[in-house]
Formats: sequence, structure tokens, C-alpha cells
Amino acid sequence: MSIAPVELERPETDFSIMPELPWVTLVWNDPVNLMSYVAYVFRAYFGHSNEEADRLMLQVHNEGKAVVSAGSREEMERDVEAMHGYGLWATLQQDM
Amino acid sequence: MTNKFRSHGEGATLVLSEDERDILIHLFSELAFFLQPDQPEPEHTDPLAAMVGIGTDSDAPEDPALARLLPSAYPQDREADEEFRRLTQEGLRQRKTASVVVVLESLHTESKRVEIDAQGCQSWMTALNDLRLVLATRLGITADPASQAWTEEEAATDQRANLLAIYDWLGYLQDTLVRVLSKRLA
Repeated sequence: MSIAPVELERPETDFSIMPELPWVTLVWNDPVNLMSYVAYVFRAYFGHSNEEADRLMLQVHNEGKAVVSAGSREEMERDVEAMHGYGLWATLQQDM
Repeated sequence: MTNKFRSHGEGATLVLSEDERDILIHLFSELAFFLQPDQPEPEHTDPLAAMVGIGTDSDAPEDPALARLLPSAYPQDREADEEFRRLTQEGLRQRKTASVVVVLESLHTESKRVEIDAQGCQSWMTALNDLRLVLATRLGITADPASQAWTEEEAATDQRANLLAIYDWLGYLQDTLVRVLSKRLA
């Protein structure tokens, strides 16, 4: 019989081995930003091809939002700040 | 509505009538003022400025137009949002203001032909977008145009019609500049 304290025998969840949920940058649709401009921003800032930029722009337009980047929280904050600089409506959140 | 941005070397040119240039100088001046934090309320005597409402309320979180220029990065998390604003908002204001200043400098020319260098093109593009965001908020353009429903009374007012015409013209100008710059990305 162990004499170790009870709390040490309790099964623990090791948070250090849980994969960290990635963060994502979302761009939301609005009626002001021109479609040509939104596609331009995706090409100029993210370096997307013309086709990928158009696909994301149309996803924003048709579905109301699109995930435009994923990574660490710090990276996503940089992307969101850059999108705000362009006047796009961007937010970040932990992907679910 | 006949003039547009044209590619010129690494920059662009824009031919404006005197009236068009005056409108742009006026609106961008208001935008520069609007972007300044905690300014005292200006005494507007100009009906256009009063109508647009630029500069009459500089409280960042409360003015919907300013809230659109400096939006929330964390709409679901007030604490994170405040921290993000604390770190980034002043810089964002300053960069937006700097772009407007570049635009205003290029508009102060005796020539009808405004010449803009490569960096100036970026400033023009984002400043035009920011100006349109502010005007759209004042006009109540918050949903897709297809779902717009002005009352007849609203649509009939000359001021609103004038502002809508300016808003459409700015969108046209911005689109021609985006097209010039898009060709250079390839």
C-alpha cells in the first residue's frame, strides 16, 4: 500500500502533450470593400496567386467570411493588424 | 466620372477637374482630422462636413465610422480586444493618417494632372478605402446593396444623393488604381 499523498495518485491530464489549437485570421464580408481590392490585398500581403486570392475573396463575399491564414497567435495578430491597415474587417480566434 | 488612375512609370497619374480636386482635398482633410485621437470638436460651417459627420465625434469606440476604421480584433473577448487595441491602435491611426497626408500633399499641385510615385499609390489606395468606409457608415451602407432599402424620403434628399454620388465616384477611382497596381503583382 502506497503512502504517497492521494493527489499524486490521481490520474492527471498532461497539458504539455496536448497539441495547441491553431489560431486563424478571419476576414469578414462588408458592402464597402471592392472585390478587386480585397483580392489585391490577399495577393499583395499573403502572396497568394491570382486564382487563390479570387477564391478567398469570393468565399468572403458569398459565405460572409473566410479563413485567410493560420498559425501562432502572435502571427495571427500581425495578420489582423495588417488587414486593419488595409481597411479589411478581420478578427482572430482559436480554431475549433 | 471619366478620369481614372493611369499607370505611369512605377507610379500613377490622375487627371482631376478643379472641383474634383477640391472635393478630394476637403474630404481627405476631414478624414485626417477624424483620425486624430481626442481632438476638440471642430466648429463646422461647411454643410458637407456637417452632413458627413466627420470630426464631430472622435470617441473611438463609440463612433461607428471610427470603429470601422479601427475594428475589433477579438469581438468575443473584451480583455484581449483592449490589450490588442492598446498595442496596435495608435500605430494604426498614425499609419492611416500618414497615408492621408501623402494623398493631400499630392493633391496640392497647380497642375490638373496629379502625379503619384509607387509608395504614394499604396497610400492613395488605402486612404481612398478608409474614406469610403467612413462615408458608407454615414450613409448607413451596412449590408449588401441588394438588401438596401432606403425610404423614399431618404433617397430623395439632395444631400444624400450628392454624398452617394461622391461615394460611387471614390469607389470608381479606387478600382482603377487597384487595377493599375494589380498588374504589377504578377
